[in-house]
Formats: sequence, structure tokens, C-alpha cells
Amino acid sequence: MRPDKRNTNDIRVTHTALGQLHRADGSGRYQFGDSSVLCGIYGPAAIGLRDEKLDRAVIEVSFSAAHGKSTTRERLHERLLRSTFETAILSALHPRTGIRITCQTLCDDGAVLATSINATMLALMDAGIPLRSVITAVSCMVDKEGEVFLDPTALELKEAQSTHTFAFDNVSGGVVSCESTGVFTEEEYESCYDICKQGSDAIERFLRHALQKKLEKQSGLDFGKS
Amino acid sequence: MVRETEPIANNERAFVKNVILEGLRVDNRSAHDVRTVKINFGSQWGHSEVQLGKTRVAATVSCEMVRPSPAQPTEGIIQFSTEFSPMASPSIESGRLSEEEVLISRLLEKALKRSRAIDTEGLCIVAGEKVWAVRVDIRVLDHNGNVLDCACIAAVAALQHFRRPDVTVVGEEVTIHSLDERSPIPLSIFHIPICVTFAFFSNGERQVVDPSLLEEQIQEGDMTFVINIHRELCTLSKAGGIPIEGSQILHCANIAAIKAAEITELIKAANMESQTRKEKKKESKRE
Amino acid sequence: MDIDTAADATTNGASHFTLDADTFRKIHPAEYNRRFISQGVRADGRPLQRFRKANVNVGSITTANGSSMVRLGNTTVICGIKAEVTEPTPEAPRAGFLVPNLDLPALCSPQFRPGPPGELAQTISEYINQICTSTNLLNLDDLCIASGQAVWVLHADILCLNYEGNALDAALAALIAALWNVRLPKSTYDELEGTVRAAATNTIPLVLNRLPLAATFGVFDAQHLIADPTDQEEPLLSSQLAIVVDQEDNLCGILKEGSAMDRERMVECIGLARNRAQALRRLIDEALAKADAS
Repeated sequence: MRPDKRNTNDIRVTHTALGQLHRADGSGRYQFGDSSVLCGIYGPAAIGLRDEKLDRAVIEVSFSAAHGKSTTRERLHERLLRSTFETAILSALHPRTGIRITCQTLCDDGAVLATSINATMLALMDAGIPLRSVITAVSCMVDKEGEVFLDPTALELKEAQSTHTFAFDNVSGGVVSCESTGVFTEEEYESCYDICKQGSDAIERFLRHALQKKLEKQSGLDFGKS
Repeated sequence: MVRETEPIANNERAFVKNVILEGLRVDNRSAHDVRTVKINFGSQWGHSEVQLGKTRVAATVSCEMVRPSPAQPTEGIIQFSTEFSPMASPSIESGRLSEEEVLISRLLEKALKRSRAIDTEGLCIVAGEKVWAVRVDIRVLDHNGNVLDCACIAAVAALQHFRRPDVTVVGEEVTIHSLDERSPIPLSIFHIPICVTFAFFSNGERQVVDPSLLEEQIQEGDMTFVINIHRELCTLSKAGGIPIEGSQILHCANIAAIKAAEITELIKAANMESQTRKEKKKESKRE
Repeated sequence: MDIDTAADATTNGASHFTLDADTFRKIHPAEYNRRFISQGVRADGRPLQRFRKANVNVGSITTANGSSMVRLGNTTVICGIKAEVTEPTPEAPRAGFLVPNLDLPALCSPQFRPGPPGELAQTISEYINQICTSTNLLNLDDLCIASGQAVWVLHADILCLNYEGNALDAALAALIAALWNVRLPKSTYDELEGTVRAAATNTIPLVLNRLPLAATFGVFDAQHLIADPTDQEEPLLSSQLAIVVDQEDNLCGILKEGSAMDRERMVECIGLARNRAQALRRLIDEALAKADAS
């Protein structure tokens, strides 16, 4: 039994919100329990001549932690976020422009990378940027007894032997990004893969539902149950 | 991104000015109306998110144990850091400290530290050896004018909401108790300074409270009062802009005092609500 | 070698002109590499899944407490570890520090600009740091001199001298080899003076709990799996995968970026990574033995 009475393969209570920011072209907020990330997107818009690419939009990512000075940890998050969304965004449709993604952690209770990937996905959908696929991410950890826990909290992570964050793409079903640290066996890795795949499928349904609700509200139409 | 703050058309500029001369405002407020304030607290201690109309600021308070400065061996440290997130406006570039960010941090520091609003001596653990360093991180998420007032509300709310872990001192040995072990301790706050900003138009003849982004870009000057519920003025900041008469300053100060009292009540109410919610959650967990 | 540009393949019967291989590589690197890789060979002559030849040397920097030089093909990195005395944090009064830092200066490749460290250097440093802390590479308490007063901080500066791709594998191998090579002086803390006295000779080795080594793979054109990509290949890859393995064949980290990859391919890479890590480990052992003998 986990401290918050979840089963090992349960994700925390999830909250989503779209379009909360007024100035940004698109925004999304994603919450896994107490972990919360807000993402704002500008673009596709003109960028400096030096940065522009002739055949595609340039994707810029900035990520910022909940508190404290910025460190190299945030740079690694930025790199992972950028490479994740470079594969999802149809950037060839907007050559010589830039798309700026900004993620701000509001509250950190574990699984921040996964939370920011999901928040960015929501923001991209809100901004109406053409995408190749929907990418959803979730974290899991393996404790010292080799048991796998989905979507761990900061408290649980203290007991972790290894932690894993997987981002899956809904078209091919494969892993887009994965960050694993700690010591683990191949079997543990595979069970993490399976449990995260299931978790990310559930999150994809959440995102779809959030977008559907927003569009229904906007258009006044009922899209029914998908 | 090269997108600068969008220039304002002369017609629009003239319209905003004329409307204010007639005692109205483009967003349908009267001259001395503050936009709607919404205060939300995170589920963890010391997290607040405040909306002032469409302006949105998040504040996070954190603390760590450090060695005090030799000049003040019995005083804790309070630091403010403001950051405009690039999501706040298309013209903001990440990684570069802007003048406005420094200005906000400095003013909050003056307002909360110099006015002795927070008991820094209470943050001392072992004199000369260990004190708490409290850090307030302010992140501007959506820039729609008057970020300073919004940041001040967020910072004050987060500081009130914040709890630091309890410690036991035996000789030189310090044990930090986790939040579950012992109930954490709030900061002792003596009074709550609130920022109220005025923007001046038509040679200082007209003033409006809580300027929006559009008004900020057209204003001829501005002035910020930091004032508490006891009508005590903590900081007054007027950096440049058109000259203002003394009597007008007094008039503005009176308005500011009323606004500050209103906002203080809002923060208190939001804090109470979050406490009761937290207790309810605790009870449901016990069941 | 001269390559007849595929004028006939791209434009129908347009004017026929020839380019030398080097110019072709420069103006159309993707097509240049595609022609090799589709034939099952890489531009530098390697089969797709062969790693470059590695070379390890330890103890060449005599002023450092530990040092190493690692070459993967033409990627050359050196790592020097300098131990200094510092004050521990109040939270962990016995724990020392290991601070790995990778520097990719402008001199090692034209793709890096002078100035503050770029994204690649920062992110690799961070990932190496994560590997060190999350796998409990060192018992940081071993670095204690006097609890709450003085501990060792090991500054591991990893410097790339020549960049030909795959900095992570080289940097991690260099760090591990250098850590094995570290010798700390015997030291005592003087309570009265509040100073640390260290012996003149460096004698005490570190205890490493494991030996994580990385192997990086790339996917070219969404189908061809290549091992140990060079700097020419790196920007053309659709996805990259780095796998870190220790001496007991446990996994110590996986970092995957880019387009989707299925599970079978990841498992295949784990197998290849194990062989590579083993080979690198043997090289490090040999280098250490040689350094001890001399």
C-alpha cells in the first residue's frame, strides 16, 4: 500500500486546464497530484535572421524549476523537451519561424519531467500547432525490493533504487523519450516500460477529454463520447 | 523572438487618454477600481498564484539552513528573486535579467524587509552558526500590466502560507524534523505591506489605480505606495515621470490605504479557506 | 575517391557534372551518409553497429590527484581530478562532494562557440552527475576528514581536446578511469587551529561501488541502427539512445531522444551496450595496471 492509498499502477489525481494565459498563443496546465506545471507557447512567429532555418520552424524551449537558481538540471530538461516535441510538431509547415515553448514548474512533488511534457502537449493543442502525434509521458520508480510504482511522489522517490520517465507517441506506440537513472536490471526496465505504457495511454485519454471539453465550450457543439 | 511590445496606434492612444479625462477607463473600471484579485494556494506550503485581472504571478517560498553573515550573526536571511517567465509576454527573452525584474525584487525587499514586516531574528537557529535563509521566488506568468502590485500580493500571500520545518537544538547539534514528524512553523509576520500603484495622465491631472498594460504604455508617470492595514506607509516609489503636487500624493495615499485594507482582507480570506481545506483533507486521510 | 553526383537520380538528364567526395559531404551531408549507410557501411568505413577504436591512458597529469585520457576514434577527452578541502553542508556533515564538469571548448570543434558552456556540455555534465549520484558511485562519506568541519571535494574537470562525436561515452569513461586513478593524501583535522594537515604523498585510493560506462546509438533514416555516431552523423540522426551499464551488467541509466523507437530495438541496444561497456572496462583495467607497474 502506498502512503496515499493508491495501487502500484495508479497515477495520481490528474488536473488539466487549457488557455489560462491571455498573452500566450496557447497554454496548458497539467497536474499530477501536487506536481503542477504551466506551459505557454508563442508562435509560429518571426525570429532573428541568425536563428531561422530555411526548411522548418525552430523550436525553442525554456524550462524553469519551482524555486531556486537555474542549474544544469533545467538545461537537461529543456533538451529532452525540445527533442521530444521536435518529433511531434510538423515544423516543416512553418519554415523560417520560431515556436517558443516555456514551461514553469509551479509545484514539484516528483515526476516533473513527465508533468511538463504533458503540459506542453496541452499547450500545443491549445495553440493549434499542427502535430504528427500526441505524446504523453509518465514516470515510475523501482524500490529496493524491486517493486514498480507508477507516478511516484517526492516522498516515495526517496526510497527509489531507480527512476524512469517515458514519453510515448500515440501513432507508433513507441518510446519517444526516456530518461532512466539509478541501478536496474533489464527485466525491471521492461516492467517499467509496460506499466508506463499503460499509464500514458490513460493520460492520452485525459488530454483528449480536456481538448474535447474546451472545443465543445468554444463551439457550443456536442462531440459525443469518443 | 523579435516580436517587440506591439506599438499602439495614435488613435488608440488618444482614445485611452480621452476616456480617462472623462473619468472612465477602457476596461469599464472607474478610476479607483482595482481589477479582480484571485488568490490560489498550492497544496504544498508556501505556494501561491495570484491573478490581478489578466496579470498572473506565482510565488514560491522555500528555506534552507545556512551560516549567517558575520555582520548579523543572529538574523535569518530573506531573499527575493523575480523572474519574468518567457511565457508572460512575447518580448521577453529567457536568461537575461531585465531592469524591471531587478526593480520589482528591490522594491519588495524594501517593502517587506526594511519595514521589518518579517521577524528575521526568529529565523535564527544557533547564533553565528546556523540560520534559516528564506527565499521568495516570484515568477511572472502573464503580463497584462501592473506586475508589481500582483507580485507583492503573491509574495505576501505565499509568505503567510509558508511553514518551515521545526528544529531541535542540543548544544551544536541541530535536528530538522520532517513535516510529518512535527507540525511545521509559520513565519512570524508583524504587518502586511501591500503595493498600490497609480498611473498619471494629462499632466498629472488624472490618476488611475492599478493600470492595465495598455494604460501603462500610455501613462505619463506612475507612483507606488506600499502601505499596511494600519495606514502606515512603508515605501513610496516614484521613479521619474511627470512631477506631482504634494497634495495629490496625500490624496493618493488615502486611496492606497483603502485599497490595501481591501486586498489584505482578500489575502486573509483566501488563507483561511486554504487552511480549512487542508484540515479537511487531513481528516479524510485519517479516515 | 570521386563520386559522380547522382544527377541522373535527382534531375532527369540535366547537365552532368561531378563533385569530389568532400564537397558532396559538405553540401549534402544527409545524402552523402545515406549512400553509405544504405549499403551497410558508414562514411568512416565502419560497419553500422561497430564502435570506434578506444584508447585509455591514466595518470598522465602528475599535478592532479587522478587523471585519464580517453580516445574514441578521434574524439579525445582528458579528465583531471583535483581534491580540495571544503566545508560540508549542515544537512550532511560527513558527505564530501564529487563535481563532474564537461567542457567542450571552441578549440575541439568548429561547432562550439567560445564563451559560457553550451547546451551539450551542460546537459552531458548534468547527466553524468545524475549517474554518479543515483547509482551511488562513490560513498561520499568516505571523503570526510572531520565531521561537520572539513571534507574533500573532488573537482572532476573533463576537457574535450578533439570532438568527433559522442562526447557522453568518452566523458564518462574518462571520469571513471580518472576516479580509479585518484589517490588522496592522508589528512588530519587540527581542532585548535581549525585547519587540515595533509601528508605530502597521495596514497589513499577511492572505493568505487560500480563502474558505469556508456554506449550511444543513433537511428538513421528511421531504420538503420548505428553505434557510436560521429559528429558528422549526429545532426542527421532521427533519434539517439545512450545506455549506461555497470560491471555486473546492471543498467545504470538510459537516455533516449528523438523519434519513436520500439521495444525490440531498445533491447537489442542494451545487449550491444553490455559488450561495449565490457570492452571499455577491460581497456581501463589494462591502463590502470600499466600505470601501477610503471
